[in-house]
Amino acid sequence: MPADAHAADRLLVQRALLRDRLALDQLVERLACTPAMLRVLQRQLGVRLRPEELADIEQSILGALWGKLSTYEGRAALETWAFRFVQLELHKALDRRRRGARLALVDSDRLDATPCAEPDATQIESTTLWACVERLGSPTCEIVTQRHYDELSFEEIARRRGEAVSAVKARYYRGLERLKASLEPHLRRQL
Amino acid sequence: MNRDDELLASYVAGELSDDSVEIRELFARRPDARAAATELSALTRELDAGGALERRMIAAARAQVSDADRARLAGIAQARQSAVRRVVVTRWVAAAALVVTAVGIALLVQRRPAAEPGVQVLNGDRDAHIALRSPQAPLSADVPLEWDASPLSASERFALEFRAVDGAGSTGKLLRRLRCASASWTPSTADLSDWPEQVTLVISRVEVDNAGRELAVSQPFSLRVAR
Repeated sequence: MPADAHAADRLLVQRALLRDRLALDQLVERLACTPAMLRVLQRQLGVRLRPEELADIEQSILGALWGKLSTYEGRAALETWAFRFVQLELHKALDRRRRGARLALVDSDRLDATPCAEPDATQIESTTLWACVERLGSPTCEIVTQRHYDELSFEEIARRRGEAVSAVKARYYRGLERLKASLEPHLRRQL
Repeated sequence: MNRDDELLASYVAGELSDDSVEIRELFARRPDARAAATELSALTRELDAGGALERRMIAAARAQVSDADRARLAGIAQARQSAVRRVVVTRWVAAAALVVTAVGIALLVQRRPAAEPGVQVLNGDRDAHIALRSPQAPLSADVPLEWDASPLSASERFALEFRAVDGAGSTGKLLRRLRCASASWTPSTADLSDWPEQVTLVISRVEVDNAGRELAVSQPFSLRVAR
């Protein structure tokens, strides 16, 4: 099995990059949820951004996302890839905002009426968690992703990879050991 | 080892519990494995929680897609495609301009005269200051040919070299080479008798010793020869 578990998505991206009109339309439709991802993440993180700030961040994220399409390897579904990209870029934008000391003189009347959730510790860590999973490299990264993000059974993962279940399980366990070691400096909560 | 990893993977993934005979046997055999597996079980719960949260948020985002979102993304896609096309076109234009420039330079180099007139060299110095003063009219027998130059030292002479110019304007056969102790030379009728209508003259400042080493060279002067 190739490294890309989402070969159809990868093919779609490749065709769109070659200016296949139909593929381009399909790609736009698939990624049209990206601005909404940004809004969802913003609420989830409990971040209050002014509408013009959000628009700026959205514009730069969408531009960067489209520019990075050629790096999409099909390790995750297209929307999942986009989500992680948005998540990472939003964190970067918020870091820049904090560093620029331009924090929040918020006009409460202009805020989105949707209530903001309290900052979620799991969510804040998920960027680090995913970055460490990615660093496991192929094929361990794909196995861990398919198991926990795509919710596949070991049997299904083995079937898709064309490997024995025992081999997949052994890779998975060793991958978890490496993941734990790489997460240790970042862990804020007791495992 | 692989079998142990396989069992531990099933344990941390929740497929096997502490009640499992195989797991009990494994932990009895490898007490260190229990602590490690317990920690990794917590890690898998983090992964599950992260995965579940991500799926929920993606689903929520999908449910919120508006026409404006689609339009913005389509706009960016179109702008990117246009930018790619512009880059491709610009590259072609740049490549064409490069070719035209290269051809132009090649033509210029080809048309450039073999010898650059007017360049005078004095031990690498370009200011030799040798300029022909006379004759203004064609070169004639018994009429002095004079030039301006800084005075010679005792160990220096002027060297004159006349060459024929053919009908096509090319400099060729050596007609006469001579040395002078002053900035003047007067040709005789015999000197000019077999010269062509057009000649070039180059005046050099040379050392008497050192095998006549050239110290300065004038530009080539083009002269008509009187008949």
